[in-house]
Amino acid sequence: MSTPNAVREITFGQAVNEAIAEEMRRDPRVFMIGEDIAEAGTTFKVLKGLVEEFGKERIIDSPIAEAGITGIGVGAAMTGMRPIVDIMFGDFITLAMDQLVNQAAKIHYMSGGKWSVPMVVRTTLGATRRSAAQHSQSLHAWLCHIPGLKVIAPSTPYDAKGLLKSAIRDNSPVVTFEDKMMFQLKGPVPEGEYTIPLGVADIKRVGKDITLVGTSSMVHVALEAAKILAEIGIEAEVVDPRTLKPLDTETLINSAKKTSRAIVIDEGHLSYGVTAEIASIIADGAFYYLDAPVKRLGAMDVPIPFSPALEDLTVPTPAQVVEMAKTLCGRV
Amino acid sequence: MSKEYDVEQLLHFYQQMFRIRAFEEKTNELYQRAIMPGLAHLYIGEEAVAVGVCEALRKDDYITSTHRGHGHCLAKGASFDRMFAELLGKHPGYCHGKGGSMHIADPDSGNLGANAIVGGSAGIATGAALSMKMQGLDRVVVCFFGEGALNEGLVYESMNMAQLWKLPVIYCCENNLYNEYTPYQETTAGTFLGRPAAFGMNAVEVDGQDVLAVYEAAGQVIERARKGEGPSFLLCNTYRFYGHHVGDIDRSYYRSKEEELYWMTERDPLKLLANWMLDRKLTDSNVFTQIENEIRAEVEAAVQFAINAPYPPKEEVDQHVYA
Amino acid sequence: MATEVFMPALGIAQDTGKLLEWLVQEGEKVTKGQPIMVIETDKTTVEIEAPASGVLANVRAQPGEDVPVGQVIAHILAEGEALPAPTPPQAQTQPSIPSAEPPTKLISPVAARLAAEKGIDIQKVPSSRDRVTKEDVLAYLAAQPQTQKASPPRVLASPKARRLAQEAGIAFGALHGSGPDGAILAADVLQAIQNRVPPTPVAPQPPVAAQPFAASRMWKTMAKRMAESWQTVPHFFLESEVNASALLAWREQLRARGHNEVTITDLLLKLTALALRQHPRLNASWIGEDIVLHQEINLGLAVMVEEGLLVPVIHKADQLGVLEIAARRQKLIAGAQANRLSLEEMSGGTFTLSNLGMFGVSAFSAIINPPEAGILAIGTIEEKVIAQQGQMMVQPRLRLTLSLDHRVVDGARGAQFLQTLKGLIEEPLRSLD
Repeated sequence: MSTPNAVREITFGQAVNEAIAEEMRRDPRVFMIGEDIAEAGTTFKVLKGLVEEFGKERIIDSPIAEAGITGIGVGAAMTGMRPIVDIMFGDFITLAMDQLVNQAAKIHYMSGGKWSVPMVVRTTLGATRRSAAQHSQSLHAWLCHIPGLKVIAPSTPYDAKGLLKSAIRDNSPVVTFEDKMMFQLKGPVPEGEYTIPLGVADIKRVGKDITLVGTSSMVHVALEAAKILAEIGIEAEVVDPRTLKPLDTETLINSAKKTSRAIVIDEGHLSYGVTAEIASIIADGAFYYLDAPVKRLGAMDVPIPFSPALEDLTVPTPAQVVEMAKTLCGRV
Repeated sequence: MSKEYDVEQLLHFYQQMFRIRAFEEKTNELYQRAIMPGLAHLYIGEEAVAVGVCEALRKDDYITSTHRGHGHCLAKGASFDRMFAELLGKHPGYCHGKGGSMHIADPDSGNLGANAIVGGSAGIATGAALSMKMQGLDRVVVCFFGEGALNEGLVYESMNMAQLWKLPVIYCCENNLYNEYTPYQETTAGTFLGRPAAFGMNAVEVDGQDVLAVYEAAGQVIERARKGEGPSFLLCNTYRFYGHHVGDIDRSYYRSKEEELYWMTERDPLKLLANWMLDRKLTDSNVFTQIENEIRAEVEAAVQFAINAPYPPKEEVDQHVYA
Repeated sequence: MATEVFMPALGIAQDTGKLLEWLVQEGEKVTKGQPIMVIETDKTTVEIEAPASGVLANVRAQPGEDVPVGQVIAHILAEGEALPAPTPPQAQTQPSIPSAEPPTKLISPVAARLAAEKGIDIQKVPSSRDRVTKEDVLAYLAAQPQTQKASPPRVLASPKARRLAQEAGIAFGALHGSGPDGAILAADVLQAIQNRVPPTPVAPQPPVAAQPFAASRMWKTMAKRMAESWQTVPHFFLESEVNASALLAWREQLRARGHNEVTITDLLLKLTALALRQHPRLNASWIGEDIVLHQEINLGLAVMVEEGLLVPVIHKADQLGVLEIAARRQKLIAGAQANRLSLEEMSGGTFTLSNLGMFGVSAFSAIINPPEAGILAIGTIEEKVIAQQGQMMVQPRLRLTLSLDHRVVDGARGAQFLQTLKGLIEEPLRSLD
C-alpha cells in the first residue's frame, strides 16, 4: 500500500476511470450508460475494468441512440439516480440536443425548483486525430450558451479526476468535454480522495507580461508558447478556466489586469465561440488596465478536413500564439 | 364490462372527469377574457383517458405529460388553485409561475412534468422506469403523448430500450386524430399498432371515450409492468372537442362541424358514463348535478385565488437555474 | 344566471376584436354551439358560437365596432332569466391590482394584465384613444429620459494608458505614442511620469481622536440599517389622535376574564393587522423598480434590549386572536431579552409597530425598517380635554404617527389606512364587520 496522498503519474484516461470508479463505490446511485462502454470500455478504452467491478447493471451498454440514452439519463436523474451518460464523440451531442437543451437544462427552472437533474454527460472534443468533419469538432460552446447546464473542460489528469468527481456530485446537469488526444497524457495525481470545485480557474503558469487563457488541450498549446516566449524575455501567465460554465471571471479579469494583455485560445470554431465570450469578459472587466486589444485563437471557420496536411492548419498552434503575443507586447 | 364496480367508484370516475371538464371550460374563458397569457391547449373530450389511466395508478407512480396536459395533471392529483395560479403566471402556482400551462410539474403527485416538445418526455419516462428497476422499486411510469409524437425518433429509441430491458413504463398514445391541424392519416405511414409490434412490445387498443374500458386496460398493462413483465403500448382512441389551442376557432379546413357534433353528442366520455349508470339505475341524474355544482364552485374559488395571487417577485427570475 | 357573450381573445396579447356581423338578432332564440356572430382579429375572420342556449339580449356592440377582448357585448337569457344588474365594463376583467381609487378610465384587459405583469400603475398610463390599450402601456414603458454626453476629441490611446494618465494628471497632448498608428500606450505614460518633477508630499495631520465607545455588533447593525433607511427611503409622516376609551375598555374586559397578560400593544397589533388587510398597499415593499405586495401580514414589534434594538416578528398576525398575539408577543420579548430568537422569529416582517407609550412619550416619528413600507409609532394614552358637540369633555387620547415609504404609498393611501385604523381603535367591534 502506498501512503495516503502519495502522488503518482497516471494518464488522463486513468484519471477519468478512477474518478468514475471511486464515485460508483461511494454512491450506489451512480451508474453509466453509453455505447460500447462495458466490455469494450469505449472506443478510447478509458472505461476498461469498470464493468468487471460494477457489473452490467451499472455499466450499461446501450443501443446507438444518443437522444434516447440522454433522455433516459434525465428521467433516471429526476427519480433518484445519478447517471453518467457517455456520448462517444462530441459531434454526436447534436443528436441529443433536445434532451440536453430543452429537457435537462430546463426542468429545474420550469418546475420552479421542484425537480432536479443530477446527471453528467461525458463526451469529447478536439481535432488532429484524422477523423474528418463528423468526429473532430469541439462543440462545447453550444452547451455553454444554455442556462441550466454546467460545462467543464479539464486539461490535466489531476483536473480531470477532481472536476469529474465534483460533476458527479453536483445536483445540476454537467457536461464534461475531454480532448480525445489527451487520454494518454500523463500527469501527477495524488492517491486518495480529492475534488476540485466547479467554477474555479487555475493559473497553470505565473507571468507578468501577457495572459494566455487556454481551455482543455489548448492549455498545453499555451504552456508551450509560454516556454518559447520566456526565451525572449516575455513572461506569459497561463490561465485555465477548467469550468467553462459557470466561468471564474474574477481570475480571468485579475490576470489580465496584472499583465495588461490577453490572448484566448480554444479549439472550438472562432466565430461565436468560447474565445469570444472570454475575450469579452476580459475586455469588459479589465478595460482600463488593457494596453492592447484582447485577441483570440480558435479552430478555423471550416469543417475539419481529413487530410493531415489540411487538418493541422485548422487548429491553434504554439507558434501562432507566440507570434500573436510578440505583436501585442510590441516585440516585432 | 368484465369488472364489478361499486357506485362510489363510478361516481368518483365521473367526478374526476368532470373536474377536468370544468377546469378546462374555465381555462377557455380565462383565456378568451384575456386574463390568461400565452396559449391554452384544452383536453376537453379526452377526459376518460387521463382519468382511466391515472385511477389505475398508485399515488407514488409517475407520469409524464404533454402540452395538452391539464387533464393528466388533475387526474394524477393536482389541485385547482395552484394549477390556475400557474396558468396565470402567479407566484403560488405549481412552478412559481415559471412553467405555465404547458409545464406543470408536481413531485407530490408523481408528475414528472408536462413537456411542450412533442414526444420529448419519452426518454424521461423511460429513464424514470429504468431508475425504478435499478432501485428495486415497484413503481410504474406512464408516458402520455398524442399520436403526433409517433413520428418523433426519440419515442422509438426509448421504446426499444424499454422493451430490451423490460422496464416498467406504459407508452399511452392518445389518438385524437389530429397532429395539430393535420389529420394523422396525412402524416403517419403504416399502423399505430405496427410500431410496438416491431419491438415485440405488448400493445392494447381501447376506446378512449369509455373510462371503464380505459381503466381496465390500463390496470392490466400497469400490473404487468409492476410485476416486471415489461412495458406496454396503450392506444386510446379519443377526440379533441376544441381546437389545437383556444384560438383555433375556424377548423373547417381540417375537420367538419358534423364530425365534431357527432363526438360531442354521441361520444362524450362524461355522458357515456352517466348514461351507462342511469340505464342500470345505479343512481339518478340529481347526483350528477350535485357533483357538477360542487366542482364548479370549487373552480370559482380557485380562480379567485389565482386572480388575487401575486405575480412572482422579480427576485424569482434567476432562481432555480441551477440546483 | 344570464350567460355573458364577450369578445374573445384568440391570440397571444390580442387587444381588440372587430365585430363584423351579428348572425342572430336581439330577442331571437339561439342554441348552444350555434354561430351567433362573426368577428375579425388581426389574424382571421371567424364565427363565434353561442356559449349557452336561450335568447340573445342586451346587445351592446354594433357591426364594425372594435371591442376590447374580454368585454361583454351581449347576454344569453335562459327562460325566465333577467339581465344582471349593470356593472362597469372593466370590473370583472381587471386583474388584481389593489387600488384605492375607483377606476376612472376605460382599460383594455390586455393592457391591465400587461401593466400588472410589468408592475406599473395602470392609472398612470395615459390613453391615446378612448381607453388605455396595450400600445399605451408599451409606450409608457419605453418612455425613459435619454441623456447624451458630448464626446471629447479623439486621441488614440490604450485604455490602460488613459487610466494611468488620468490618475497622474498628465495631459495626452504632450505625449508621444509608441503603439500602432501612434497610439499612446501605458509605457509612454509611465515614461512621462518619470520625467516629471515629483511634487512635495504633505503629510496629513491626524485629528485628535475622541475615545471611541465600543458599540456592540447588534448596535452596529442597527446603526447601519437605520442610516441606510433614512438615506434611501423617502419617508413621510402622518399623524392622528384617536379616542382610546374603547381600547381601554376592551383591555379591562379581557383582564376581568383573567387575561392579565394582554396589553394595549397587543390590541393595537391585532387592529393594525386587520387594517393592513384592508389596505394591502401598506403591506408591501419597494423592490428593484417595483412594488411587491406581500401575501402574509407579518408584524414586527420594536423591542429594546441591552445591546440595542430588535424587531421580532409575529407572523400572519391578521389570522391570530388577541390572546394568541399576546402569547406570541410575550414569548418574543422574552426571547429578545435572552438573545435567543430564531432566524424565523427575526425575519419576514412586512410592517412594524413601535410603542414608547410606557415611557410617557406623547408622540414620535419612527424610522422605517426596510424593506417594509411603514412603521406605526404609538405614544402614551393621556387624558385630555376635548370638545365634542360643543361640550367639553375628558377623554383618554392616543397619538399615532405613521411613517411611510413614498415609493410604495402616497399620502392619500396612507391617510385611508390611518382612517381605517382609527375607526377600528375607536370601535373595535368594527373588526367583526
